[in-house]
Amino acid sequence: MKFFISLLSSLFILSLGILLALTLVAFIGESPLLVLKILISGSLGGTREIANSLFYATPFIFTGLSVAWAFQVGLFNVGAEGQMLMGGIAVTSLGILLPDLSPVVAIPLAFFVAFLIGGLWGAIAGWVKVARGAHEVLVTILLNFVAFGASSFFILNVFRNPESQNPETFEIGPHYFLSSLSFFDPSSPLNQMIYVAIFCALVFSMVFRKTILGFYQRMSGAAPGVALRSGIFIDRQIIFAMFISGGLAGLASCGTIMGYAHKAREGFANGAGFIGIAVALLGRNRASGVVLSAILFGALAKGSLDLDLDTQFVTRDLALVIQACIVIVVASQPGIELFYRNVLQPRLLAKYFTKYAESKK
Amino acid sequence: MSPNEIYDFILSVARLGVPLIFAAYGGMLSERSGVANIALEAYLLFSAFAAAAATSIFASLWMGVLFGLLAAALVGVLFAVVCVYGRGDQVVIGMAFNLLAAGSIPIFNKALFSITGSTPALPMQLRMTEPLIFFGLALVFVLFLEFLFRKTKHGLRITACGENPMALMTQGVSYKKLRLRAVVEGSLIAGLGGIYLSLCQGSGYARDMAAGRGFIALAALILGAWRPLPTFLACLFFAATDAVQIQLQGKAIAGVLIPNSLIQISPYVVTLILLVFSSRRVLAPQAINKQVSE
Repeated sequence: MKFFISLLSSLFILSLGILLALTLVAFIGESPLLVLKILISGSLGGTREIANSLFYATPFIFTGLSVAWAFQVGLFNVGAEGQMLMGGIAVTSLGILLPDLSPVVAIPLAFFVAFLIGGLWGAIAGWVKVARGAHEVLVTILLNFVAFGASSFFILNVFRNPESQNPETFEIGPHYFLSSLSFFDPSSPLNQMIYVAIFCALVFSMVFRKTILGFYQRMSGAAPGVALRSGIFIDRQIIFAMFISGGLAGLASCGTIMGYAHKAREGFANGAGFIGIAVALLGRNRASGVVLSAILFGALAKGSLDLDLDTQFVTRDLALVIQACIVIVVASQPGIELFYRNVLQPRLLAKYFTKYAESKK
Repeated sequence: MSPNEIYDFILSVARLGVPLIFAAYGGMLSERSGVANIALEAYLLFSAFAAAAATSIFASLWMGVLFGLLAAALVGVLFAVVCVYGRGDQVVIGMAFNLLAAGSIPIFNKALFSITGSTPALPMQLRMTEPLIFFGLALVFVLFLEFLFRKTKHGLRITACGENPMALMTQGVSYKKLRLRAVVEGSLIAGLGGIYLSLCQGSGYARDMAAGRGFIALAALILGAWRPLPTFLACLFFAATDAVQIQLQGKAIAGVLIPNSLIQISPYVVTLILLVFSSRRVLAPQAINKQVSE
């Protein structure tokens, strides 16, 4: 029951966010209904579209879980984008440097390396916050810029494939390839990584529901004073949270690199880290919510690709506007609730009751 | 270095410092009133775009300046209203505004000029050719803000609002109205930085032309302990890093050519290192990003 109530309120927020974005569409003189139709048919119009939407959703599940984990500990990780890039560079380097590794070792090792490097990149922000008191948002944003530079250095200067016209690296060894899922559509890029994503979501849910670790993590965020007096090392909890958060973001790069492109292209993260913020907020920092909203944002990302060609003014950037509107609405929830409780509800009650009283006369 | 080179270097520091200074001052008014402002990037982008678009549509610089300021004020009003009345986490809301800038400007651009990337390049007579005028304005703002925060009722109220809004309410002043006003004033100042970016430093709006300056300005604000003169100096320091970085691009150091992608990240690395070595949590306005209970 509780699940359905939060699902309903998320759906309400979602429609409010989309409504705000469509207002902008109407403002620049494009038909909102047409845009909505393109978004839906482009993402859910057939098995191929659905498979592609799920492919887009895969990294969003990881980045969403990443941001949600940090939120559970009261931290705002804006650096999922950079952590994802660092994880992706690590996997690509591994795949290029050790191409003949046994297939039994290759894929788990790749996941481990992506998690570790992404995690360390995130842990830097945790350490700076704990040791030096700098706000994690500013630090992770700056680390993002460093990661952008580092990734283009790796892709353009270290592992660049000179035979390719595009800025991209050599191909990784075939033992690292994740096989694609053909039951939807054989030509779609959807691959096994989505199973890993679901598995991570289950682990996430278990940790925060059933384990003492999850309890400590949450307590350090929600009630640091209580945590401190119960003998919990808050500093370690914060660094650990940023490590796991970064690690999950690092894994986000594996789906595209190991399952589809088999190499790293410049800008391969493509904003997935920032979408993770909207995913986590709409999913209310819970595993089930994150998976559902990631699929939704995957569909939105896929659907918005068609906007460039099929409309006159609106571009795929509309997906960003919709995300921004959703985040604004989710974040403003306390104010909206307060407004309802203090202003709207008394007025409605007064109106209803006077009508009721009059009808009885 | 010859005297000429030193002179050029100082000029380029001034040129690169202007957008940082205005953005940081925009953030200062907002943060000292208790509204955490990570949306400086959005201020810069929106005002840069509006200024360039209006200049090329009306073929008039003054219209450009006017629309740049209007756009900044509009974003400031929206941000302030959402922060003050939405009562959410101001950092999350600020990030949403940055996303909004990244997503909606290309759409506006396409609606106005049929391309997504940039506004048409402005001819020479429609550009501001004297960056030092802006730098002079920035200098005036240092004095003005020092005066504002020390000697005027409005400035003292802003500081009080950022430290203890309840104390302000006992004086019969609405902290909400004061925060709205401070954030919008700040957005106007930051808007000057955006106007400078597209009309003076560049020749029109280019995609993502703020390039993280809003965030570096925020770091300068923190390093400057939310005070006008130290923040000004911190901005100049970051501008100097940027100027050195531009000088080093494509040059061999000790016989080794360092790739541009690595040189370009050096300002961010320097910012990070400075943040690590200066712990200033204590100096932040006490009521920043905290909700007043009702």
